[in-house]
Amino acid sequence: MSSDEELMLEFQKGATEAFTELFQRYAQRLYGFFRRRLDQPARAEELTQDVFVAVLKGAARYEPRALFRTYLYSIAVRMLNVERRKSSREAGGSGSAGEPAQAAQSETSAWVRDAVARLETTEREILLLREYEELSYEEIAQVLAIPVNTVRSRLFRARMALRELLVARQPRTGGA
Amino acid sequence: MDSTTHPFGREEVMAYLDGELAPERAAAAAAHLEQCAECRALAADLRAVTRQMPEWEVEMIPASVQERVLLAASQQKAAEAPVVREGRPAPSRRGMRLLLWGAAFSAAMVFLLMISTPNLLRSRRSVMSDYVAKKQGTMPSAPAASSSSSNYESRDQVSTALSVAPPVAANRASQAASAAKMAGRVAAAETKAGESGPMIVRRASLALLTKEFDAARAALENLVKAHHGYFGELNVQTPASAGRSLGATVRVPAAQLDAVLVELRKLGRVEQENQSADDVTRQFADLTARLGNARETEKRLVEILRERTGRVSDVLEVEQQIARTRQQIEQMDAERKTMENQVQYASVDLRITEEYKQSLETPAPSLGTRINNAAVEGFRDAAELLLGLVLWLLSAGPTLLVVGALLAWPTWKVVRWTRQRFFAPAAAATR
Repeated sequence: MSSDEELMLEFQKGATEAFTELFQRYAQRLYGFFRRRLDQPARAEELTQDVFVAVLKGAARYEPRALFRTYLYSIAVRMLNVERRKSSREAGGSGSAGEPAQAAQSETSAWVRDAVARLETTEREILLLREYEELSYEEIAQVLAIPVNTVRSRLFRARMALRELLVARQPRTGGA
Repeated sequence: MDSTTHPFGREEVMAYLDGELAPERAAAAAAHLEQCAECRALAADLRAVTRQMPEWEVEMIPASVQERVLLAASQQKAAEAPVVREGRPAPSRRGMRLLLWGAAFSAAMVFLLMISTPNLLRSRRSVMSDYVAKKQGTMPSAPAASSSSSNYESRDQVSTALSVAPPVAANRASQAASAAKMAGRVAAAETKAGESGPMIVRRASLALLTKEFDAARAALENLVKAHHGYFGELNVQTPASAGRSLGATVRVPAAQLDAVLVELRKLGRVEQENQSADDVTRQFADLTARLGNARETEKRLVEILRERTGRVSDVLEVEQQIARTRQQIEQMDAERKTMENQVQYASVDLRITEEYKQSLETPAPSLGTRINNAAVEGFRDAAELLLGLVLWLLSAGPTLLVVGALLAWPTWKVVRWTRQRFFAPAAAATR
């Protein structure tokens, strides 16, 4: 199986199938990325689409200096920041669009979502990138433009905070 | 956790679970976890948290997104294909942009060509007018163009023959055309500069008075051509009531300046002469060193860009820095070329004035010309009068109409009253 970077180079040479393959590898993950960070499914769809269109437009300039995954999520994070700024401006600073989705149904799911929502913004971002996007510490550091050590320490803090919430919740649910 | 009892920090335990430790360190961490209950508990807590995470699921991405994105991909491919593969212009934005850049580049090349070989297109016509002018005994400024263009040609021959760097304007074009070529040429120039001795910019100015203006001018042109020089500038003035004069900036190879000056002095009586020489060796060396440094910086930046896979913002910053450095290199390079050109070609400001002979032969126009002129003037006066009348009517007409309309009724009344008062009784009396 070709690596993401090889596929991207093939697409540069004109192979549309290579792009289709990349889309299939990342579309759902990228949609999840936006969906867990925004409350409107339609916006998540549009932004997913926008990220791929940005990749299309920038394909000619793409150089495999960094992993394709890092490149893709860097674009996604940038678009998300723009979206958050825009929606907070539109909502006069109260901004509900920046909050995670209400898509989940089960109780555990709701618990995870609420617990994640309580985290400090950067810690939440690092945790989400690690747990759902499965990026390495190094990749997270690149995508968020922060040092690797910061990623590690803040990820640890985020997980410890989640553990506290988990412990506090367990007696209620009978230790599930 | 205490580092004396725990060789691993808590964050390191987490990094181990995330597979972020180096293999040896990971093996040591695994061994430590076997023994340390506290660390095992921490690992269990961390695993419990991670186990909970997948509970937060997200619905599947709608198929419409895939359709739209893949459609955009195939459209982009269709739009780009002719441009990239066949080099044919396509109606895409990218294609248009390429076309525009191409057109702008060609325009710049044509412009530079026009500067370096001025009035090439006009030269044939000016040769004709030169001929006609000579026959009539007048000297328009057009010949300046012809002579300078022919001399530019000779200068080009010189520059290739002596393998000196060509003039700045042509250089810029070649810089834009090929960076690699430029680098090669610059390297050659650098070794040349190293070999040569002090760099001296020589200038001279000379004012001459001559009785034979035409002969002096022809001799000047031959002289410049013979010494492989060229005219930087040439002006000829032919005032009606004074002698003709010629002002020129002549560029000749520095080595031949003395010989050229000796021959120039023969063209007439020397009224004024000045010579100067500026030593620019240090400036040149300074510039060369700065240029070398800038090139080195550029090389290092390119290496950084090639080897480091940093953040996108860092990459962009490095690229911007490269662009800035390249701009500086180009400026310094142009400055260097100008300096080299000044050193290799000495410049002579020349002024040749004709001794004025008062003449009575003011040109009297022929009878035919006078009749023709009179007819033309008469016709023009008549046409202008007519035009003036029409214009006056157009501008004053509306006002006159309004005034006329206002006055018409009272006037009519007065006329009627006058008629009735003075003429009607008379008419009645005659009846």
